[in-house]
Amino acid sequence: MENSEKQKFEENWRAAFKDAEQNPSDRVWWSIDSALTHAEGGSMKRKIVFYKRLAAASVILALALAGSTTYFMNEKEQQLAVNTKQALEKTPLQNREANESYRENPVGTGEDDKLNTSKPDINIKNETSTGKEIQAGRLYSTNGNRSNAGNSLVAIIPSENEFEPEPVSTTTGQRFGMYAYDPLDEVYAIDTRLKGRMHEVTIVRKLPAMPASMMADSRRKSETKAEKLWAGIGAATGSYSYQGQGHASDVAAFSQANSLLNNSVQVSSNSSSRGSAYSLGLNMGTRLSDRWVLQGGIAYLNQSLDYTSNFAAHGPDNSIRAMVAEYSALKSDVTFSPTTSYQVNSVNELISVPVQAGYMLVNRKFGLQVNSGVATDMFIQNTLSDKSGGLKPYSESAGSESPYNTFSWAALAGTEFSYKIGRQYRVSLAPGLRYTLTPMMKSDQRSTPLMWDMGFRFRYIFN
Amino acid sequence: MSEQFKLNDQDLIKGCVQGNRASQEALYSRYCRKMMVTCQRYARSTLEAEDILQEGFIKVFASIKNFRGESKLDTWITRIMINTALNHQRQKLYLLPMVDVADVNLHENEDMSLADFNLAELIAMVQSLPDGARVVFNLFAIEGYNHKEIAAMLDISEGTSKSQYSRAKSLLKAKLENYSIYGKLGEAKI
Repeated sequence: MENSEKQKFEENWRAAFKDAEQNPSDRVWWSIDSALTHAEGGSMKRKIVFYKRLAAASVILALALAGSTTYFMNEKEQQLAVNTKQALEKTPLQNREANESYRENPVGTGEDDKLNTSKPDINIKNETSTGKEIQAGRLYSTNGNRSNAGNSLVAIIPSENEFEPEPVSTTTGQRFGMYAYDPLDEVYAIDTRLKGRMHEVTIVRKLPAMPASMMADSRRKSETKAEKLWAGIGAATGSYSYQGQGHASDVAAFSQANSLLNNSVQVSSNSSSRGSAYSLGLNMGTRLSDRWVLQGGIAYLNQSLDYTSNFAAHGPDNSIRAMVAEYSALKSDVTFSPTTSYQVNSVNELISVPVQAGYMLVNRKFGLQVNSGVATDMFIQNTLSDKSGGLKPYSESAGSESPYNTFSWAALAGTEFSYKIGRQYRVSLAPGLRYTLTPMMKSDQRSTPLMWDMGFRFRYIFN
Repeated sequence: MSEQFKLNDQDLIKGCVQGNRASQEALYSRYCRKMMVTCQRYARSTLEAEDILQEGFIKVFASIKNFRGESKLDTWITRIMINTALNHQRQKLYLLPMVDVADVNLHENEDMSLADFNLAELIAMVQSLPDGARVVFNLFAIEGYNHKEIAAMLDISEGTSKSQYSRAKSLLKAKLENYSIYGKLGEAKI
């Protein structure tokens, strides 16, 4: 008895609070909204940090590649280029004269610069290809106050082991014996031994007039400096992922919105999760700084998605037209009737005005650029067409009566791989994505499609 | 009628998982009033109840991706609200550790009806209970937990839970009787 009384006490209280409701103040939602926004901001910050790191890694990789390329090119340029030269017939006396001449005029030009043997007592017998003898010689480098734009060596190569290499310095300038460490020397020595004759070769060492890195830089600037303003045309095609209503939930929504339907008949439309899309557009761009560019334009956008529907709409002219559930909520003046299942193709047509900022990771003849921005999309019309052709198409354009929002925003991100053709053209492949930020449909907050596409652009560069 | 109210719980959950603010607002609008009453029962004031409600819904949105649909959505949200409320109260409970109190055995009429009281008055009565007694009363009488479960939840002994509940019950009965006599809750004398 006492137990049942106790239970009654609790039941009374439980019943008193069952289904009880009390309105909280508006500040609660504002605080929640603010907290959620803050949390999203944190998430966005983490994403930004990730992309910053990615960009930094890309820059480091690009610098490493550029550095190593420059280094190897520089090494290659410093290799001694061998240039066969006319054989010289010089007696020891002539050699001495030449040396004297060089002492007097260390910045001399012409053949005197190229002939510098510092052992006048060596009996040099020259023989050219025409039959004159050349005997004994060695490689010496002249290294005076000449321009570093080029440097020549004269090699007089012995036919036999007629004398030992010995580096010698002169009083007129620093000279280096190259015999011991020039790999080319050995090659030519072998050749001359085989022939048993002395040959004179001039080894030309080209030294860079400025550091290689600066040369590369000036080349880059010369190639890309002119690209300050450009215009182009582009086209893209890709996949279109739709996340709006369109599944089982449509049945409930449809039934609630249309009392004309018999409740015992379930009608619905199911959309594919993926459609196709393409775009055609004109674009312009300008360079803001060495690496940053700003691009904009206008494009026609076509998004196509397939549905399976089992109802149709009766138009004012008694025509029967294709219909999907997304329209049902806002079309109370249209009569619907159940049908057998049929395929509907829904095509959205929009005009898009994109604005993107781009960062050029590689800015040479070949270009690599990452782009990000937003687009304002203006809805033109949607057409529902029965793929079998049995029903008439149903079109909805923009406006207050339309189930579609006239304007929506989309976020854009992508990459652009380009190649410069001639001085005024550049072609590029541009894989990218477009995510609709604001819903396209008034009745469906989730109608924010994601589009992946691959674009081709042809750019004319104004000089 | 707004489109949001046509969406069922599953649609709202999907939207919330995707971080769609409209879905989050719709979910909040659907359950905030019921949850407000729950929070008020555990709190000492409306202001504190709103703080619990706010914190609870932020937890709901943060963990809704883990909702597996094994229970009803409102049951799951209520559980989060209760846990949030208990976390709010826990500090107070530690500061004022619950001890066994003498089992008050008032022989009032157990069959007193609550129909004469409106919701605000009932909430005010519950809020006027001491912290420990209020929490145990809510968990036992309203949520339906037994004393063993409550003891485990609050890290107290089963005997403490029973005595706190007994205290809450006697206090509430006294308030109800006084209210009947004096007609105004504020003048109730315990």
